[in-house]
Amino acid sequence: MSPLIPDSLNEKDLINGCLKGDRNCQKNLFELLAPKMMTVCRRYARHHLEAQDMMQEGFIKMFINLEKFSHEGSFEGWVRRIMINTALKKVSRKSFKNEEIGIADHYDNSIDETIVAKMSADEVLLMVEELPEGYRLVFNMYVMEGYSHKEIGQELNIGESTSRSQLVKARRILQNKILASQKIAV
Amino acid sequence: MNKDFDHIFKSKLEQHESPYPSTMWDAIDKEINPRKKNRALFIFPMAFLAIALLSILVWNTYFTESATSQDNSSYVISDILSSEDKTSLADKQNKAISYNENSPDQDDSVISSKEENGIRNSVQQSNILKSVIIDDASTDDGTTGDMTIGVMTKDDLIKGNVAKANENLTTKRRENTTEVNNTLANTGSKNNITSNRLVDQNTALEITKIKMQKSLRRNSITFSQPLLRESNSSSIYKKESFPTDQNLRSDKVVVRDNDGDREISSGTNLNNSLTRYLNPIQDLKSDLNIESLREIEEFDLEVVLPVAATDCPSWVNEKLGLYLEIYGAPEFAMSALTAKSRDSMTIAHQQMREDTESSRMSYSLGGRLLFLTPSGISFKIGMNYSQINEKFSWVDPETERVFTIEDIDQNGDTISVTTYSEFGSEVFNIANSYKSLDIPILIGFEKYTGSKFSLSANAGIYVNITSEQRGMFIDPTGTRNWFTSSEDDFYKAYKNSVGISFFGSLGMMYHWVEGIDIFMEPSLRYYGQSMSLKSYPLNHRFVTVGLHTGIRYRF
Repeated sequence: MSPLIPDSLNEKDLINGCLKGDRNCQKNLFELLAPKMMTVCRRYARHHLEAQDMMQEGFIKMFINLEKFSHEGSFEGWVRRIMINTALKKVSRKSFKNEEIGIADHYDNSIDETIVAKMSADEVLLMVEELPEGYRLVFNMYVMEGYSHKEIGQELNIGESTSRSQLVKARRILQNKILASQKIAV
Repeated sequence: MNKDFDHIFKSKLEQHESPYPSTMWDAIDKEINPRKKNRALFIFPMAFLAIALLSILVWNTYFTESATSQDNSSYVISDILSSEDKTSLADKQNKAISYNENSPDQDDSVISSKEENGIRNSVQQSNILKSVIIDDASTDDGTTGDMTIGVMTKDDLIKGNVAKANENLTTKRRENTTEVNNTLANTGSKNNITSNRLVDQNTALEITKIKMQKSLRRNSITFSQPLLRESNSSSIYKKESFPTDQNLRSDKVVVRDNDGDREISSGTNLNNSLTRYLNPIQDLKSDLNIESLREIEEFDLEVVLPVAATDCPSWVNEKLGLYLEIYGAPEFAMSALTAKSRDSMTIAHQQMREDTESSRMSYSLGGRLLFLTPSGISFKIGMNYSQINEKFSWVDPETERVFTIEDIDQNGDTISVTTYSEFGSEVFNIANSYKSLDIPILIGFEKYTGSKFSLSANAGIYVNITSEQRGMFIDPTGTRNWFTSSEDDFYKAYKNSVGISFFGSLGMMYHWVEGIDIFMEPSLRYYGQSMSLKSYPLNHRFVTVGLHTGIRYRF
């Protein structure tokens, strides 16, 4: 938690303060969530500046619609969802034009998991960021957010099979990247 | 296997935190908590212009209306007096001067009549400076009874008899007479108005005589002509401007019979009716014993008023010409930073600059040449130096100080060199300045308000010759940087010339001694063009509010 936030103030207090228009609470809530939300936005954005734009837009939406938060679920999850929705609105439909159908849902699994485990989060994040846009979206939604292919298809207005194929390709690319880093390490 | 692979990624990234720009909150804050302070930059100039225009409007209206609307009949008379006063000014001599616009025959008789009718009784040894004769020769049909003197209404002039009246005036002036023939629509009578107005320079008395040649049939007198009035001109330099700062009061009112031998009535309690502009004479009737005038065919009415030793300060006549103004002005500058695009980085940069820069007392110095026309219009041109001061305050949280310790032996040789760094915050408080050298080109209007004061209004442009900016700011990359051109690796954000700015002021002048005035001018200057370069993502303008204080000398 930010040093600006008194210990006695929890997330709920901050939310209530924000609802009353308290700028300090707004700032503290932003600083509380911003680092994690930046990671979320980086996973979806094509580059760092786009990630910043997504995050800024997402936080503005969050503050404007804060009264709609029902306090029933995780507040962080609610904000994360806003960020993802903001990111998805920026997605170009061109990303899914060159879909391939019928690619086997398997890949070379000769990856040493210990190598992946030793990789830093930043290295892993960089790999995800380097994925082609369509692959990256599906990978993030399926793996990170837990969407089903059906939900992804509805969200991105693509077919379920397209979603599956994009996921396979994403995994393959990531596998290759890990293997490449494995060889370098050896 | 896929799930394991996915799990590895998820576990690595789910709680991962990434750095974000420190300026992002400022941009968000600006969006969700919009501010209104920039409105002042537009409200101030608009309010200033509105006040200036309103002032000029009221000014002109007041001075015009006060001269023309008090009494309709005085319109013509005032014109005659003003015309003669101009001549009087041009030929300002100590000798007794007589302006008699009546025919020579009338002139002699009237002046003679005045002396006989007792002016000497009230003003001994008077030097006659002015004597405007208006002869009332209206016929009395004996039915109306009311006598009106000096009635030549403005409406009459405007509606139907303007041309005729002007023609008459022109003709009569040429013939050295002020006889004004006017046919009144309501009575059909023909009025020849005669009035004597005398200023005695030695005794500081002004005597207004109104000669009534017709009889009165009723116990009342209706006068619609004021005894004294101010000039109807908007110029501040009219001699006709009566010294209204004095407490005017009548010393004596005398009504005489037509032979001038007998004082019919007199009164001295005219204070109530003589206000700043002197009410029409009908207000005097309560002070006079009108009953005694019933059978009088002709009488004179004299009102003796105190005036200044000279009815116009000498310096007023010297106001026209060329002046040099020297001034200094403390100023307060309001900065306006506006983003050229609405992207988040630009807005964040704008916010960062607004948060780190604050206004400090600024100033202007300069000199202007002023040419003042007889109508009160002034033209000014000169040289002006302005310096807008601001303070840059910034705490750099990631400052690194590098220390180097060098061990030297007895021979002066270096044994070892130890370098270490110290990390911490560093506070920057930098005085920023925006300097400009300009040519002011102004047009103004001055109005003499009586006594030793004048008011003025000025407006115009400042043409920038050169400008220089010195100081530090947060540059668009989010790091502190110099924008001073002489610094190494400075960020070039500003132009060398800030173009044209707009200036307006309202001033008050105190005529200190002959040829020297002291003035104060609340002023406003709006920098119409951005100081920043096109390549810089923000527009930067200023509005300054100041108080120009200085002295001016007449060549």
